[in-house]
Amino acid sequence: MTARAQVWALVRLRWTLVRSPWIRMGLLTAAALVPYLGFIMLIARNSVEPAALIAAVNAAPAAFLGFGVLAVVAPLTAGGTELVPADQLVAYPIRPATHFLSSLVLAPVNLVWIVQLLVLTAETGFLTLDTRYTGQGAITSIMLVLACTFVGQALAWVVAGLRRSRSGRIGLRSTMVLVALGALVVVRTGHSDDVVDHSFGPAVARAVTAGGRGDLADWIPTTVVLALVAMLGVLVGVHACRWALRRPADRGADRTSREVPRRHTPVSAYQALVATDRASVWRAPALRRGALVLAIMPGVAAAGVGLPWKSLVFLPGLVAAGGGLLFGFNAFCLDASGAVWLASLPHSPALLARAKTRVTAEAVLLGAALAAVLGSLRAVGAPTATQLMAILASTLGCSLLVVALCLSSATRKPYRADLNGPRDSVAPPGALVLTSARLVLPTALLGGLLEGAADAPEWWVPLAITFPVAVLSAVWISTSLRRYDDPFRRSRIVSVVSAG
Amino acid sequence: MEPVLKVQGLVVDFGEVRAVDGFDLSVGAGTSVALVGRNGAGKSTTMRVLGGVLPPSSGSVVVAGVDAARDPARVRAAVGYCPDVGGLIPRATPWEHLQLAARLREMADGWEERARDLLDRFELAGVADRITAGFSHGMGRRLSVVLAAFHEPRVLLLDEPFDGVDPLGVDATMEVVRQARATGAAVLVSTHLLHLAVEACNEAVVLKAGRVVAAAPASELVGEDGRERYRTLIS
Repeated sequence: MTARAQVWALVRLRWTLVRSPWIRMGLLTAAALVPYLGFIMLIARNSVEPAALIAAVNAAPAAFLGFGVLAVVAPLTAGGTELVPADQLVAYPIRPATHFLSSLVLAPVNLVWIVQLLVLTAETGFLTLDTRYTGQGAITSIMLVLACTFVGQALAWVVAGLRRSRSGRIGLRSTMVLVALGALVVVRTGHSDDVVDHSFGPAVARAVTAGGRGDLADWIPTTVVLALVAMLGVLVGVHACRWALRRPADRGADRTSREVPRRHTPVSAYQALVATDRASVWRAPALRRGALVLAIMPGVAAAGVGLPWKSLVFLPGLVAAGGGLLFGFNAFCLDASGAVWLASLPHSPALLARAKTRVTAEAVLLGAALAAVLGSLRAVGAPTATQLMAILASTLGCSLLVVALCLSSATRKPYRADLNGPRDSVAPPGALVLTSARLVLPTALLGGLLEGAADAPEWWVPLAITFPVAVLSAVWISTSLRRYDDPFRRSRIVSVVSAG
Repeated sequence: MEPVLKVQGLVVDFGEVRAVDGFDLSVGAGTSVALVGRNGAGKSTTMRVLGGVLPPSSGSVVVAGVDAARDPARVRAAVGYCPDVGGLIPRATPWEHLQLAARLREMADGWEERARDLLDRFELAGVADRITAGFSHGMGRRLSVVLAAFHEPRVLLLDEPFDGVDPLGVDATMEVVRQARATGAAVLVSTHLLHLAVEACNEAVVLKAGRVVAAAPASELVGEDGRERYRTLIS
C-alpha cells in the first residue's frame, strides 16, 4: 500500500470515528465557510475606502511574513499532527511518508492557520484589483501557503529527530535562546520594520502585485521559487520523518525515565489535586511547549509591532482563548486512566472539578496577563485611564469567559488523550478546530466591545461592559461544577478519559 | 455475623446493554472471594460499582454497614480498589500517588512508613520518583495493588491484579491478600487466571452474562476436574 493510499485510509477512519452528527456538520460547514469567506473578501475589495486599501497594501509584506512564521512555529510547539494516535497504529505497517503526509493533511485543521489564510486572501485581493489577473496573483499566494506549510512540517520532523540525542537537544535549546534574544534585541531597538523589509514578505507582495497586473517577468521568478521550496519541503519532510522515526532515542530523550524531585506533602486534599494537575500539565511535552510559546510569543509579537494602547485591548482575549485550547476544554484528560482510581477515593467530586478549574484559570490568566504586560512595553503613546481599564477588563473578563467555556466543554464532551509525546494532542483535530472557534468568537466579541469602549470619556465604561459577562461566566462555572456532581455524568467522563 | 460487603440485585445498564444482571454477593470479614468468568461477563463492571466509580442502575451495595447510595464517600473510604487497566495518573510518580491518596483519605501522620514498606515489598522503591507513564504494564499493576492496599481498607477490590505481573509481584500481591484477610478485611479478586484465583481466595463466584451462575469453595475449582467444571459453567 502506498503512502497516499494509507493516508486516504486513515482519513476515512478518522472521519468514521467522528460519531457526532453535529461535529460532522460543524466540520463540513467550517470547510465550506472558508472558501465562501474568501470569495466574499474578493468581491468586497472594490468597496474598500482608498485610505484603508493603502493601509492594507502596505501591511501585505508583514502579513505574508506572519503566515510564514506561524506556519513554521506552530508545528514545532503543538500536537494535533496525527490522524490517528501513534499508539493505536503500532500494529500496522505505516510508512514514514504516511506520517508526514498526515501532518500535511491536518495542517489546515487549525483556526490560526485558517484565519491567516483568510488574511492572505484579503491581501491578495487588495494587491490584484484587476479581476482579469486575480487568479495569477493568487497562484503566488497559494505557492507561499504550500511552501511555508510544507517547510514548517518538515522542520518539525527535523526537530523531533534532533531531540532524540543530547547534542541535538543542546543545539535546539541554544538556537531557541538565540532566536528569543534576537527577537528581544529587534523589539528593544525598534528594528521590527527592518526585519519585515529584509524578509521574503516584500518579494512575495511584489510578485502577487505583478501577477495581478499581468506582468509575467516579475511574477514568474518568485512564484517558481516558492513552488520549488514547496516541493523541496515535501521531499525533505518525508526523509526527515523517516530519519526521526528510525533514530534511536538516548536515555535523556525520554523524560519518563528521569527522576523528579520529591515535593512536600501538600497541606490539603485540594492543594494535592492542584499540585497533581499542575505537574500533569508541565510534564506533558506538548503542553509545556505550548504554554511557553503562549506565554511569550503573543506579547513579544505585540511589542515588536508596537501596537497602540487601544489595539492592545484585543490581545488578552485571543491569548486567553489560546490558553483554554491548551488543555482546559478537556481538562479531565489530564488524569487519563488514573481517573478511575481517583474516582474511587473518598473526596467530594466538586474538589476535583475545582482543582481542574483553578489550573485552567491559572494557565489562561497568566498567558493573557503576560501578553498584556509585554505588549504594553512598546505600546505607542501614553495610555488613558479608560484604555488601561479596558486592558484590565479584557484580561480578567476574557479569562473568566474562557474558563467558563472550558469547564462547560470539559464536563459535556471529554476526549481521551495521551499527552506523553511531544506531538500528542489534547483532542482530535476536528474537535480542536471547532473548540478554537467556540473559544475565540466570544472572546473576540468581548475584546472588540472593550476596544470600542477604550475611547469612552469615563474610565468605568469597560468595567461596566465586563461586569455582566463576568457574572454570567461565574454562573456558568457554577452550573458546570454542579453538572460534574451528577454521578452518571461523572462516570461517563471517567470512562471516556480513561479508556476512550 | 453481618457481612462486610453485601450486594443485592445489582443491575448495571449501558444504554440497551445489560452488563450486570441481578448480581448478589455476601463477603464476610477475613474472607476472600474470587470473581471469575469469561470476557464481558460483567466482572470489571461489578468491581467498578463496588469501587464507587460507576453508579448502579439498580440494586444495593452495603459496605461495612454503610449504604453506598446514601453515603458514597464513607463507602469509598472503606474500600481499596485496584482497577482492571491503568488506574494511574500518567505524569505523577508513585510517591505523588501515595501523597495524594494520603491527603484525600485524610490519613494520619506516619503514612510515609506504610508507603515505603509497600513500595519495598513490591520492589517499586527504586522508581518511586519516576513518572508512571514510563512504567511497564506489570509495574503499573503492582503500583495499583499498592495504592489499593495502602490505607488497610475494610474491603479490598483487586481487578486483574496478576495480569502481566512477574512471580515476585504475584507473591507480594498474595501476601497483601493474606494480610488483609488476617486483619478482618473482605477481599474480592477478579481475574482470568484461575489457578491464581483459587490460590488467593477461599471462595469463588462464577459470572456469566452479568449473573452469578455458581458459588463454591475455591478448592472445588482446583485440578483438572475443577477446570473442567469451570469450563462447563462459563460455556
